[in-house]
Amino acid sequence: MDSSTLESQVRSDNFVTYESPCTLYSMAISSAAASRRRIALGSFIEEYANRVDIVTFDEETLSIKPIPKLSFDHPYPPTKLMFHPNPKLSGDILASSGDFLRLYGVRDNSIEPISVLNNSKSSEFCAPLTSFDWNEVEPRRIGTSSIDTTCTIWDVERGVVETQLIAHDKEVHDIAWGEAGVFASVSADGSVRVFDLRDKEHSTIIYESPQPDTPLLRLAWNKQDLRYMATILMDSNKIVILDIRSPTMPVAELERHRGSVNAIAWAPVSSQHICSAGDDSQALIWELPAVAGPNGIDPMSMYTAGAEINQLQWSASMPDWIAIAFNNKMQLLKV
Amino acid sequence: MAAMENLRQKLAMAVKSIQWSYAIFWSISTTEPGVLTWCDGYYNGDIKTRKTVQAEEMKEDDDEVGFQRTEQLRQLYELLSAAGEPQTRRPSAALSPEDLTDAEWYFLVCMTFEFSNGQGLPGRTLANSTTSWLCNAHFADSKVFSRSLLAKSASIQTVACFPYLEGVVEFGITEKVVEDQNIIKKIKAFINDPPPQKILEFPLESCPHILDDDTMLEYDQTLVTNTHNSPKNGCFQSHEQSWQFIDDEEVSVFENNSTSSSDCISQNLMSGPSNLWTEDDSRYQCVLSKIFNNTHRLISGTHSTNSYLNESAFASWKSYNGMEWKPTSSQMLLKKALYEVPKMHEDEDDAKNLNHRFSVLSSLVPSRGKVDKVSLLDDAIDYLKTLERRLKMLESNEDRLSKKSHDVQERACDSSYGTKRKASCDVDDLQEECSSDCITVSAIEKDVTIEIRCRWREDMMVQVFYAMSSLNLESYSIQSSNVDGILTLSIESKVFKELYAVNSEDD
Repeated sequence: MDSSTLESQVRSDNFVTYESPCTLYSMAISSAAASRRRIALGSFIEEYANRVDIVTFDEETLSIKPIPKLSFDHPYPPTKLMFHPNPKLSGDILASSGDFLRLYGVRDNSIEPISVLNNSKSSEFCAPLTSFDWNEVEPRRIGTSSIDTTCTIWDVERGVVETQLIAHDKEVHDIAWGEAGVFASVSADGSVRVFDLRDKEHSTIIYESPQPDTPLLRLAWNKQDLRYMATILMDSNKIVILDIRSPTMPVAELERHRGSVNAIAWAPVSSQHICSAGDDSQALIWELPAVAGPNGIDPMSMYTAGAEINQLQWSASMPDWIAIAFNNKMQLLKV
Repeated sequence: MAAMENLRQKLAMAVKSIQWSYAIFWSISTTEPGVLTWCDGYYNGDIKTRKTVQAEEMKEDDDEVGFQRTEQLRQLYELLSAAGEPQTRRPSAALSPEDLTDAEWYFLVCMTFEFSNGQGLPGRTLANSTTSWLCNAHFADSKVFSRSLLAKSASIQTVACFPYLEGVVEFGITEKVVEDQNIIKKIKAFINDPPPQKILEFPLESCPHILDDDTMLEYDQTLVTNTHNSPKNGCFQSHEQSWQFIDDEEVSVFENNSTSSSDCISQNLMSGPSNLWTEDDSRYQCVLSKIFNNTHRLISGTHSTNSYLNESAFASWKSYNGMEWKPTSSQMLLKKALYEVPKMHEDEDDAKNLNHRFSVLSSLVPSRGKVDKVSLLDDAIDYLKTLERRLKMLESNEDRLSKKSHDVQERACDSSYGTKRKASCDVDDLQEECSSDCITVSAIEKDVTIEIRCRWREDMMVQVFYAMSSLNLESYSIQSSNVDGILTLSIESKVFKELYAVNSEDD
């Protein structure tokens, strides 16, 4: 704690707060089996020098401690952080997106760059990456989404590009794996498209935003029930729930946020719960009914934070806790 | 009480024979003529067996278990309804609310219902003196079956009622059963035999009336909706809060309407159950609030293992939480992450070139692991200084060599003007410099062979090659060895064309 006098923790029975010296955006919870869960926090400073801090959460004492040895500099703010979905005992791996897809080996006392993956053969630059997703079923695969309208599928074990697809007409904003070879992406062109690596020539549009070209910003695929995914729109308080069996018509639109929605996460252990967080400072947990009523769906429960919530993580490795980020704070909320 | 036992036994036999979930006998209240209140019942549905003590004791006797369960439910109801009056609390109830299944909860909440004549399913049954059979009770209109939402939460799908003595018998089941007069007959057979006289004897006054002379009416849907929220075993936090909600916001409404006379209650409810609330209703609300406040106490007091359920950071959702939300710039950070951060990578050309140059620089400068621009520049400065130092060192060595070579060149130049000297001779001068060492230089035409044997020192080779290049010698074969700090160097070289040309001219 000596090296982090700026950081303080507030303890309560059902939530824990961690304060970082800078604004936080990206966030990831480790899947590695450990008594103290590792959480990676990416800073959001609008310049070159940014950082990623690793903290640990002790569920017994409800405390969050930074591990200064594991902090590292990151060029520009990471747009997303994610730990290896199924790490080996020998060491965890953290991935980040931004100017490149970067992999870092996380040990107990050190963190070291493993690789910087650039999909451009002709240039030493890679088109900026908006997001990525690590395939849980096939962990050697990472899919990245880029502002150059493409998605790139990496074989990170060999450090080579498996395939690169022009996925959309405009910037690709997010990508999510469904199965080992199936992924979906959302874009500024307003569409959700599903791709199957066995047939790279075709994609299926399963949703298009009502006002043409209202950008779709984020995408979450329900890992407990792959029929469902959720997306959010630019400047909208809606969470759109899609059923891949009925393309174009959303099965539900959740509209109880009183500001725009910034982040969504499906429950890791239940197929019908989803959490959302928005500019109204609220995190809402929704239970999706079998049949939606005429007046729409009300959330089941809510949490009000101190400011606009920018990030949300609900991890299978810690299903009882939802992590949110607002301002320079990260909070773990007991579900 | 014998008669009571008798009635309950008959209900038990009847409901078991048809394997339905519960049976209730609604009797006409002695204090409120024409109003049906709970008299007795038997629960035959699913039981949670968490209370293993009771379950084990009674395993041999299924009947006993059933009776005991019904009795425990009744005790729990009385315990809960005594809420708010601590002196009357009987903490000995065998069951706690979280031990109940949804159907048991339904059964227990039924105990709070009252029906005026013609009101609700039991009331109509009594008024019309006919048998009522209701399928899809959980979807029924609340005017037809006021407990429909409650039924939905407990999955009660079919309810049947028929008049019996001074009241109404009600049966319910969690499955859909189409109307079947044989079932009614079967039930009636059980209830009417043994002789009905005995039952006539049973004192109606003994039916417990928890609210004394308060009139209890079937409550409005708003309330039922809240009930519906409830008893998913263990979700008592949301439960408690939804009732709190009623306390806060609805009771005040009831108080405003407290002037309504109780005479018009049934009329109001007939015309539309949610039209007007009465003082009686508000009292009823209070009782319910007490029940659930008390419930909360019971849970936190007796089931600490369960307590984490109450620890959720999330509260029940309310459409309006009193906090005014001021719109800010929408999705600020998210949009920056998607649109501005990429621009930072490749902004306008200047920045791009700058970044490009930084990255080229970083590839040239040995880095110490830091990636930011400041450290990169620091590294570059350090690296440049190091290079400068080395350069100076080399230059100072070179100066000494080039002095000689200058002479050589001069003489070489002189030779072009007639002084016949071979460039190779001049190399002998080098011997002066390292006298202890041995240098042999032999030149045949343009081929020059140099053999050096000397103490090894840093930059020795470099110096030699500098010297050679200044003598316009181009090496094409080098052999070197370093044994015990003694460097042995054998170089075969040719004189540069230009010089050779000059020399050959002379030749």
